[in-house]
Amino acid sequence: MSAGLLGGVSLLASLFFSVLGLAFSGLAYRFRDTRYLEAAKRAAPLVFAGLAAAFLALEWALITHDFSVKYVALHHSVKDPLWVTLVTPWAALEGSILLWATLQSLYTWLVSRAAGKQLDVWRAPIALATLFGIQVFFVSVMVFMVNPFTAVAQPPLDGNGPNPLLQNHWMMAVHPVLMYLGFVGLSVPFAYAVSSMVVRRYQSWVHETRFWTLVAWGFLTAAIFAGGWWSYEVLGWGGYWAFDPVENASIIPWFLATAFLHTVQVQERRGLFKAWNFSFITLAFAATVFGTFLTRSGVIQSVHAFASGPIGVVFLGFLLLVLIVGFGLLSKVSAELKDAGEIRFNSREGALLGGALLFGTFAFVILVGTLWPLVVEAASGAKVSVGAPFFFQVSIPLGVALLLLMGAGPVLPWRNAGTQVRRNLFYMGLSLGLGTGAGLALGLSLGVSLALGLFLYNLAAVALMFSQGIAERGTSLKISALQAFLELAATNKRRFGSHVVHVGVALAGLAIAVSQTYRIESEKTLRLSEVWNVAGLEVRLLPLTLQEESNRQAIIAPLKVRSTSRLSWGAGGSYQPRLNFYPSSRTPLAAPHVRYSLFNDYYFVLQEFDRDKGAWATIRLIVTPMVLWLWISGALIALGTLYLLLPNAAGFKKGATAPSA
Amino acid sequence: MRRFWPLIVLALGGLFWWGMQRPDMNALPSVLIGRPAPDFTLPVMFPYRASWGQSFQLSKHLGKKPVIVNIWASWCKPACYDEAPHLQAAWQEYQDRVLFIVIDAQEQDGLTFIRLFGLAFPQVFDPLGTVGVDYGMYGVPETLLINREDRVAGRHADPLDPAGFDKLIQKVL
Amino acid sequence: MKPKHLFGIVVVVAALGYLIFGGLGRNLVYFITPSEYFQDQARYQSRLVRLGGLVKAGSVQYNKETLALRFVITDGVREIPVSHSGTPPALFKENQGVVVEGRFNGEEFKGQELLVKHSEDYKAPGAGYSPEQLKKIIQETK
Repeated sequence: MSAGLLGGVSLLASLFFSVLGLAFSGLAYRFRDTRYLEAAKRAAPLVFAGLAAAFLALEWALITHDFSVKYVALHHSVKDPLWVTLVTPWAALEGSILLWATLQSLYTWLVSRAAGKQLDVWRAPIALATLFGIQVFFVSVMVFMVNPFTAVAQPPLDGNGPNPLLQNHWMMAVHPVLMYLGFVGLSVPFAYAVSSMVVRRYQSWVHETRFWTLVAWGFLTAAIFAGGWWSYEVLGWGGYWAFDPVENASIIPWFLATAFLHTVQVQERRGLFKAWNFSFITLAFAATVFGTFLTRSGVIQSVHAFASGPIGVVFLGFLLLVLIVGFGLLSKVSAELKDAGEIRFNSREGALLGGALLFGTFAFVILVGTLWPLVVEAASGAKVSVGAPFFFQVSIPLGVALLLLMGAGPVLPWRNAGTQVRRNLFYMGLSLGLGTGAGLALGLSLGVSLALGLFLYNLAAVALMFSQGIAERGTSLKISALQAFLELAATNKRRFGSHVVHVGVALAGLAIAVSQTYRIESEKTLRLSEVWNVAGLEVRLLPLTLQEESNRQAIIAPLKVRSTSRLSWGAGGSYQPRLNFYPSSRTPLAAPHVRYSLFNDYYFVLQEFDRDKGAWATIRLIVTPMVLWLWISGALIALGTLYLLLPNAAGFKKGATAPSA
Repeated sequence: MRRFWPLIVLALGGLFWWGMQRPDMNALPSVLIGRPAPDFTLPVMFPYRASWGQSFQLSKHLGKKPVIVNIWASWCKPACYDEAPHLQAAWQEYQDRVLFIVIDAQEQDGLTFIRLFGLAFPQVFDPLGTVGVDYGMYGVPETLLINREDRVAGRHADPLDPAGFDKLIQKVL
Repeated sequence: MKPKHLFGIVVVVAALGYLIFGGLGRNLVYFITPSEYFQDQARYQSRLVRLGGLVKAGSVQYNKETLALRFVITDGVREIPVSHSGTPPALFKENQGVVVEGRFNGEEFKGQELLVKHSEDYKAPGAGYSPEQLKKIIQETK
């Protein structure tokens, strides 16, 4: 049996089982019969098995160079290194949809295991029907429109290989998978929300979906950081974020999921914000579909230049369907969702709502900026684009407001603020003022000083909460401060984890402000062994070398760099910026050489070289401070999220007293 | 909000729908339509030399049958690759009534094409891109149609689907 | 809804509206061709513009020592001289479709960024183009 045949048959089988699962879920709801529910639950692992087999079949076809499969013929070459071959399934549209559907079926299977237990028998049929419905959509798109296993009549002996940009950095092996895990994961809370609205039970779903949302959110966060890293190390322009439509498509669902993660706590604790939670999760899931639509339909031009396939229309239909189902149900039940309690602005719930609204606003602003060129063209016919300065302009006030709330929110107690809180807020405000003042005194720009102040303010918030919690626990149980801290971290995971995430976000805010403000860029054409004094460095060009690799050729411009000032300490050594020439691409791709240090990053790019005699090379140097700290903050956020997701420690009771609550 | 959300969804849907339907470059008329087809002489790819000779001169083949000229390149992915099977199918249907010829930028492109999609109609290569200049080519893939009166009768600057080939060829039959 | 809340909402919405639409108006970058520029010169002065067209044959001067690049951008009807600092991208060639982001400075256009389409299904424009075709090229680039 050939890989192509196996894949095609597996796809058909998974389509069959998805439809079956959908039908049984529908019957289970219609007749309130758990036997149908059991049958639907059995379909879920079969769908997963079918898609996993299809995915492995594609990998198999790639590894065995089976060019009778069109996807392999178009996106693979026998010269590709093994790791490139293994990541080729997500190098183009058909394979990406297959990966997406496979991960979707994995989530469906995991959810189906909870059906009838944690997910009660009334809601389970609807939740499963929603997930099976999404599954049917993705598998149908593959079977009927973009089949990864389409055959080639006369197989070639070799193909062109995947897009060179994907071969240029190993991050490409990680980033898309994380992104899909995050995007797909948001379908689970959406399915739970739909089921809750259909059976009109508005409370319990939030406890259950907080976990799933956090899983998806963690992957999405990691994916966004990984994407920034890839962009920084591959694209050669020395930046990590450009508010390109494709990047915006990934950040919009992130903001909406973040908003949900905040308001959901209020519903868990006080039963408020039901309508907000349904709205945020519907929008977050719709935003993931929107992102795919945007990048695959050619509606908006983007430097990422995805091929626009025939699937734009079906994704548009799917997007509208998700919005109609979500908001149709919500408007039907909205009369029953009236919140009973009063919300004070100077309380935890007030801060959480404020934060969620800011996240929602952020998502909205980015959406408007992304779609604005389309609106202008529809209205006036003029071709415009929205420059990155617009996004920075709106991001700064929103970011500052978010960082302020992020520090104050956890300090504020539920319902009402007391005197200890005022003292805490005073200390935090003091750190903010001192930090900003110190920054200004050191001659830093206003923005960076403010970012420094906000960072210290957030650190102070977390430190105050910890020290008071430790002091209380230490005196009441008569244990040492260290033991008290460890016990607090173990028993109140939720608080501890979110503090770690918040510190990560505050650090990211500082790193972004500093790296965006203090960037030095310089470019020069160097002759062999000519010395270039720049940014506290002494750069010398050594003879260019040609390197033959299996899938490409590279021109390397070795640089000998000596640090001549205290600030550039650690930047010395040799650098090998290179230009990679891929047979399938007419333009060479620059691979910058980056050296991170605690303060500055040194980023050398080979721009051009003497093609006749190799006597000169044009080199670009970009020095950016604190980019390393941005990656560290990403790791902190990921670790904090992981800690939040760990199973509860023994003896931990829900709602245990928080340090300052 | 409760009453207005369907309007918002509808407006978004309409905007995106419009965005996908924006006029494409095929709506643009070619300046050459109705004018005499510029002549070219290009080397024939070696697998075809036995039956077509060393080089192919367009003017020698004009006047008998209409001619379809397809411009192809191996680096143009996926558009050119999507179109090629349809080109092959159109050739199978119309080979008696229409002459098909494929122009590649390099010899290598033509060999890639043959490997992937098989041998059918003659292929020539145009390393200097002179045909592209003479015909005001927009990009690849591009298909030109020349009628029996030696005049350019149609042009399509994007991958054609089977219906597109039929529609184009019907203009001259 | 209490009047106090209503007032707050109005203030927030107004601030947001100003933030978005004020910012959008100032940061819109128009795609234009040389002909379009000469139709309405005042409109495009001292703001960021994307100027698109073909690099006129024989007009490219690049000094690799000073990294100063000069060329003339044309749409077949009108021409505009462009100056830019930095290495031209690898796809930058004569008769090549190009988009320059920058500002008008008197008669000359000062480029800040050179964009050449870098996707794999790039379509090389040839001669014999019409202004509409050029527009399409510009749209395709970036």
